[in-house]
Amino acid sequence: MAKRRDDGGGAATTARLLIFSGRPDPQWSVGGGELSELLGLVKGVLGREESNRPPQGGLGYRGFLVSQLPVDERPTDIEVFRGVVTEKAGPRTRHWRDTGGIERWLLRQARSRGHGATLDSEGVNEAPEGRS
Amino acid sequence: MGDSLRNLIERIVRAFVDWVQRCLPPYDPSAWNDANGVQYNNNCYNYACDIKTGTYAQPGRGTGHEYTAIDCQHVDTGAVSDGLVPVDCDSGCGCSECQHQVALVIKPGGFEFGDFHWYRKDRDGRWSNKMGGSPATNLDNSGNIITDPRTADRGSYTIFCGCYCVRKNSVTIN
Repeated sequence: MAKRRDDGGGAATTARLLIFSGRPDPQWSVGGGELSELLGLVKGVLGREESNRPPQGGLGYRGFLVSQLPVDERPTDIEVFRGVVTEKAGPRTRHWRDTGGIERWLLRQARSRGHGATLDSEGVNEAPEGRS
Repeated sequence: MGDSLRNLIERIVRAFVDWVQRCLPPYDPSAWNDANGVQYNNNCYNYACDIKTGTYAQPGRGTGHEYTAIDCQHVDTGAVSDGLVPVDCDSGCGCSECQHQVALVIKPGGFEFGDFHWYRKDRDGRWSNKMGGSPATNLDNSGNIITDPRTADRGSYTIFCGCYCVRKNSVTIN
């Protein structure tokens, strides 16, 4: 579970599909053009439309945890679930509506990395935001 | 019966109940839900055993017999190797030993998309669980308090394997 470090000496950005309970969740590094694309989506969401906290997930699909996202050069962790982006920067936690389609983008990433069967087993598809 | 005698009996009963319950984990999600290292690096097996290793503990790994398939039989073998003791769910773990009760369920699908999950019985007599790196909770998938993991809404974790007793000081997990 330790965070891998990138070539620049900072902790690498990782995406973790929150779907298992006992086994380790699938997770992968996000870098290069994908990181730029994700950062663009995230920057368009944070601070835009505040939201209530998402419902607590049960056994099965519970969204994504993206760690060490360099938002404005400040490492930020976000969780994305059911159309809500939860921003965790230090002790602060805020919730934003996923108007940028971050969850859909991450779901596509998960499928492209071979986790489609895992998502299918929980009935998860790239539905409109709030309906994943 | 005088007040002093009644008070004495109440204190003795209270002390006995406290003694019996001393080994049962309290339902205290704040001890696990820090939205950081404790929460993200301890899974359902850690939570059920009430032991924080920070390693996402796997049944059998701590004792060299990690499960090789995701089904009741193989996860059971790993857990028993770690020191968990199978028990009839309705009999419970008694109070002669310092131990608490846990339960194992399986999501079918093998190593492709299968998984295992553990519940634990808390001091209040109800059950709670922690889904991977997510927060600990005493609610099932329908949002109901878990009074029995056999009948709780477990989503795709449809196979109920059985119950076990955990003596924390004689269990090794990693």
